[in-house]
Amino acid sequence: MRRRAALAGLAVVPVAVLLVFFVVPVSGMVERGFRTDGHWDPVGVLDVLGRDYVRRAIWFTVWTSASATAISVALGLPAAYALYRLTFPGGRLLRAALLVPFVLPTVVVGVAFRELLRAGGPLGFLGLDGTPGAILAGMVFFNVAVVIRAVGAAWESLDRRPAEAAAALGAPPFRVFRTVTWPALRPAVISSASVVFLFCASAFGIVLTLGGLRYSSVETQIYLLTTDLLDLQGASALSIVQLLAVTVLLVLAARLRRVADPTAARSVARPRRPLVSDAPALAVTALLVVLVALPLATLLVGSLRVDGGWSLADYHRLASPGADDLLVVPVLQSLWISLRTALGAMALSLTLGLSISLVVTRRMGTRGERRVLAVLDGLFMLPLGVSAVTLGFGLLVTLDRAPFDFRSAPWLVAVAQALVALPLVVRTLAPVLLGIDDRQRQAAASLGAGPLRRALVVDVPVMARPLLAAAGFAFATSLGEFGATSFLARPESPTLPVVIYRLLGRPGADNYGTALAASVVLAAVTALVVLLVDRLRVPSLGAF
Amino acid sequence: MRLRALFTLLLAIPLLAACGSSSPSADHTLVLVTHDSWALPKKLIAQFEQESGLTLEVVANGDAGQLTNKLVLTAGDPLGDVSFGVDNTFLGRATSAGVYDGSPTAVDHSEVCVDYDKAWFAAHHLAPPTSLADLTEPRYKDLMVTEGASTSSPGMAFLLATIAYADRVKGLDYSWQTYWKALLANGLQVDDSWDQAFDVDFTQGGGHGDRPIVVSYDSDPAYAIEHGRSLIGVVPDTCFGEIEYAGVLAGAANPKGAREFVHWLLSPAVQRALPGSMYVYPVVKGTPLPGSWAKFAVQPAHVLTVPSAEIDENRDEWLQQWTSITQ
Amino acid sequence: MLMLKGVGVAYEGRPFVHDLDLEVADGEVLALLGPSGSGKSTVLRAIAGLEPATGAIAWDGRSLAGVPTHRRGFALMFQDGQLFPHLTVAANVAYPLRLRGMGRNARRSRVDELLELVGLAGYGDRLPATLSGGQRQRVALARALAVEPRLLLLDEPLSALDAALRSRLAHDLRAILTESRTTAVLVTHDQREALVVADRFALLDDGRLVRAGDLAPIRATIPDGYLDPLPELEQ
Repeated sequence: MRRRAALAGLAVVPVAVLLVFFVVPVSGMVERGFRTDGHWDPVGVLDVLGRDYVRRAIWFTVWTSASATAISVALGLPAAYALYRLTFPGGRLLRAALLVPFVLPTVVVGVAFRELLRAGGPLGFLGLDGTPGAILAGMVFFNVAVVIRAVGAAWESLDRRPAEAAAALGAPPFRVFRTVTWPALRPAVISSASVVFLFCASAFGIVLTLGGLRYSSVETQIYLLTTDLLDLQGASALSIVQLLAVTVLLVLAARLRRVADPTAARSVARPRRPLVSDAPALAVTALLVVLVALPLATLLVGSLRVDGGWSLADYHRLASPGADDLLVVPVLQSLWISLRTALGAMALSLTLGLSISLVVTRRMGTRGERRVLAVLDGLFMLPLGVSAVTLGFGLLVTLDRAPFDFRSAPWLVAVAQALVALPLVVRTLAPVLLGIDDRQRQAAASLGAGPLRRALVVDVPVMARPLLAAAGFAFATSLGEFGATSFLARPESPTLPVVIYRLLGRPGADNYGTALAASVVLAAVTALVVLLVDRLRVPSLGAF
Repeated sequence: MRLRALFTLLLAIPLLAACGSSSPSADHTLVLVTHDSWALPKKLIAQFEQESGLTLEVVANGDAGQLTNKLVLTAGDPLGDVSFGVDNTFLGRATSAGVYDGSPTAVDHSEVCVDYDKAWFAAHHLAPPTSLADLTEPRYKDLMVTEGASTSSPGMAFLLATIAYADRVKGLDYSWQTYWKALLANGLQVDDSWDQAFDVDFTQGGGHGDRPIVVSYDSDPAYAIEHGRSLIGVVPDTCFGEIEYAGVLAGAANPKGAREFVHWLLSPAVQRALPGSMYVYPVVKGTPLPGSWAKFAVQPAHVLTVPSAEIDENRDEWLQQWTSITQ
Repeated sequence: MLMLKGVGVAYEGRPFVHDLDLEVADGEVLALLGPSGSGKSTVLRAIAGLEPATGAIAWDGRSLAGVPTHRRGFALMFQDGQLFPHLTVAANVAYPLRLRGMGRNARRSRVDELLELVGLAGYGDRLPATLSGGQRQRVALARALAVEPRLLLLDEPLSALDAALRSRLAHDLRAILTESRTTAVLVTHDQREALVVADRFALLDDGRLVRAGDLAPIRATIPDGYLDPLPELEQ
């Protein structure tokens, strides 16, 4: 009984946050769509679902998201191995650098990709501009880091003994991977794959920009219906489709994620130097690095070229307030604002994410309790799969009555960012928590530790590395989040992605160059912060 | 014990922060709801605040369309006191939803036109296009890029220009749908936003693309000056007029301050600052323009228009037709 | 026969094992003794090919340098945590047999034979998580013996078990090893265990060989019954 009370206590705040800042706004928007001219009209909504363009949009979303997820996993697994099980010079830097795509606003990534892929660009010969191929490339570019980081964190803390025993029994390396390592990694792979799928399914900047307006996904349809036509009925119908699809996906993923009970103490392998047999994994990683680096290099080159020559002029402009006080704040100041907001969002998503992870990974006695936990787990994934447009407008429409009059609150941006980062945190931490032997907790309990202290003494130390991985994720996501927050109040304190977006929207080669320079700075700062976070050694919390 | 307290404190931070949420506009705060292209020199704003005794709080994000929708969705219980940035293509939607208290006031105007790269045409010994009809000619094949009407406001303006053109060519067998089909057959590229079309694909944009004809603004010639001459030209008779409005929001907490603000937007100092900060023309006649604009920006002789009410009525249908033609 | 000559193992530049010479004859069980940190497990892992080592490690005169772990034919047994949690007991034991392409019927009969040998007949369909520590170690032993390895490497296989179980399993282990004539290297910090299971011993301290010798003479000096399995307190 005490245990249940403690769990409920831990879950209360995250659930409240989710309810107020997600469930209420989204259902508010969806509910509006059901009302035509003031009265309840569900038939109209269902009608929309039968339309041809809706079916095409759903199919397009499903196949592009599935393909992009498959490619991300195929490339991400070898890269996770190379970057988290092997140690070589520059490995740490690469790990951090792979998170850079996360923080770049879609508008800049769109520019970088199109510079590469358009007819006259360096990769123009591929003929990918305006095709689904470009969209897939963009999706993989953004999301492969999710797979690498989550799987890498799990791989790092995997017990090495079954694999060593299998090798000694005569299994060659690939056989060991297939029969011993993969079953143990599967939960992390499935977790990250489901997050990637949701990210891809809710992408709209990428689909619009790289697809040349020729393709529509469920998300772009919602965006166009809501922002262009204010057709809330249509948008509601599609939002419901999204919710249903997300639920189905989560149920499937939960089934596939089930893992056998873990054994006692772990023996974790230190990363080792690469051997010849690691060549394939290293080759795939190198390929991936090149693919990710190309668009970034385009930005860098673009920021250094001024009037046909090389120059740092664009970078100098970053520090100045701009001619005629055009930009409200100098670019470097908005970088500081971005970092501040992202740190706040990161702290929030880590705290909430850790609480939720601790709750949903408890082994409960009765089936009913287990189901409650499973539902809770799925609930927190929803923000990823539901349209940022619906959420953004929903926040405006519903949070307007005291004591919930938050819609103009400056911290709403951090909360929205945290909601998007939260599922990533949970998906990174939960698989590792599931792998902790319950007997350790039982031992702690018998020594007099209450549920909270047990969690802190047994679970949290094991979580050190995954926590850092999650922190890096959360920070990068918050830093680059643009979708939901573009609907929220940002009085006079624009974040750097917003400033970049504004600069790109102005004529004049100066503004373009400065936008690219700002993007390079944003990318570099992110990589640096993530690198520092990765280096942190969380001190042992065992001394209580 | 300490641990539990620390943990609870961490979890409580969001709640504590929530208690300090924003208070409704007091008599000395004025909340402006606008789009993300809003920009005026800090000095001017400081002047306004000093003279009026109000503190200006700006809520700025999204484009004109998103702004309009936000206002419509919160009509009667608005996000602020005054709004700036709803344009003539969205005005019908805003007024019919009762967003404003009284009628809104025009503050600035700009024209979306088909621009071309003078240097490119000179280098290729090709005469630049001189009308909308020219753009479907084979000699201009694969040379034009536009923004999409569904995702971009200049894109929408260009679509409206082609719709308004029907009035200009009365008597001839012209329909905007056929015109667009001809444009597409002539290799028109459709991008999702102005950044893509101008920065990436336009030959005079930052990225130095391949297309020398782009749908953009009539003020662009002022931003590509070389040796005292502009490298960008404007194709005559392709311009659609956009007007931006400011208005007091119905249900505002500070309507008096809002009215002062709207009045201030029409003052000479602000009108003079508009071109430099927001790339638009002042609506007040006789306002001096900045040097580069006066010399190089081309003010079209004739501007195509469609009445706001008509746009509001037919927007959905036009967009759906346009989408099916271009996809 | 296993031979180590001048073997050293280092982690990140710091040497853990220095200049070690060892020999294990066919059918013999060698106990590696020493305090914790003396490098016993490291030597075992080096023999298995899991740690890079300097010096010469040879089997039957042929050097093992460059031979990867899965080709050495040396089975490995840990204290715990080596069974594949997602496979049943039978599937665990059958794993090495499948690797060698043994047919299903042959596999089944060999698995039954092995489970019988370790006293776990009938446990084939259980999952490792449902077994006790001692049962799991027996399954691990059965699995290791499944393909009659050239050398069995045991890294403190009984340390995770309680005293009574440990002493009983030590005798069982001795019986199984002798019956199957398996060459083995046993790492342990428990001298009684060494006396029960092994033929010879090598004492390590701080990565160096301090003493080596035969265990039979020492056994002879121990009073009768001292090494017998401890009585079970409940039945």
